[in-house]
Amino acid sequence: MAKCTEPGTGELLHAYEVGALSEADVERFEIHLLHCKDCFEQVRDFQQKAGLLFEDDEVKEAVRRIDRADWKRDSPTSKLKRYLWPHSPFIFKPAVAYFLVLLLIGPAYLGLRQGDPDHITEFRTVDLTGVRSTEDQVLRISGEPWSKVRFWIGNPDSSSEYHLTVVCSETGDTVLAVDDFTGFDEYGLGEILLYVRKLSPGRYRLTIGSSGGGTAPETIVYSFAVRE
Amino acid sequence: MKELLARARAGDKAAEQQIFQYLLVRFELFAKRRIRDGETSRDIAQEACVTVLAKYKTEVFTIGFGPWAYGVLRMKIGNHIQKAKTERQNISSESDVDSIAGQSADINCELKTKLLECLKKISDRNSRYARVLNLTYQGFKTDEMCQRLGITPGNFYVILNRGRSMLRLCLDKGEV
Ligand SMILES: [Zn+2]
Repeated sequence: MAKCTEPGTGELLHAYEVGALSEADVERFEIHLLHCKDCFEQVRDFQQKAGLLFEDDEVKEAVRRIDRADWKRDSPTSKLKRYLWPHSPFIFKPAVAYFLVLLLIGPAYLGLRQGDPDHITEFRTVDLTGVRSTEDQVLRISGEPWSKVRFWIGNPDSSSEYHLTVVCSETGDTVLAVDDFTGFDEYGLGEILLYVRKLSPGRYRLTIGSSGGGTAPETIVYSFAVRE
Repeated sequence: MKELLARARAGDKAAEQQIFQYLLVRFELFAKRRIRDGETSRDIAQEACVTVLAKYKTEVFTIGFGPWAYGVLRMKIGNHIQKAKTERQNISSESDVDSIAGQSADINCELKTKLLECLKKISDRNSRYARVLNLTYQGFKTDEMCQRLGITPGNFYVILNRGRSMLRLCLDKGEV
């Protein structure tokens, strides 16, 4: 199969199909389609389906309903439920698999707990990937000494190493710097562990950028707050 | 394309025909995206290709052959839309209803049902896809959507293209 001749323009593919581009970008992409066989074939093969997404009122209304429902059901318990039962309550496979794993590791875990008086504590996780709130995610110094911070980078380039820094916006102090981060999962999610107890209260920036090489995307910045 | 163009300019009729066919399928796709009606789109694309072939030998391409030929098509589409607007002002509302009914009859109901099911399934794994589509339908520009979602344009396109891959998989195999 032919490869896109200009991936920077080729990335506009689905935005073009669903009408998310400005007229100038539509023209840029269509001129690209004049010489890029790969993109042209993809657009042509998906034309009928994309047409429904682009202009069908019934489809648009359904998308609106899905989006609204998604906003409402975003509690942690419903997230877990969705994870265990991704499509409907009638598809039990993942849930059964988790149940079996619990059955197998449960006794071992209980044994471990009995033998260790300071039993294993789950780290608190601060999720920076949510887009539904403009408020800062907050890490509490008075809480657990360590916290996990979760972030998302889109499509991580598996051939690239990423440069991560956590910098206090007020003082400019770098509290964490990792040059060779590669721990993104298949969905582009990554996590770091922060020793919160040593941090001063204030706003912090987590910056993720490619350390060079590969085709990794541009720098991404998340912000969060640290409070007493 | 360059080589084909050189051969056509030197009088090779087969090369000229190849250019015509090459442009025609692409022009038809571009026209259909704006005009919707398949037959009219084909006519406009053909007209644009005929104009391109009538002029390409004498034209000096300051912007390259592709962008120049594309400009010819855009002009034809623009003329058509302008003409249709004027005509619409003159025709009765009854025939308007007819043309709308004709359009919706073309839509593949089975495909639409499947598409709606898949969009629901995808939202369980990738809720941002429906969010981006919804914002697009509301007429937000790319940079406004990125600002609302707190993401870069690069990530915006990634969300869309990933949604597209999931949609294709779901439509082909029924799984997400
Ligand atoms: Zn391409």
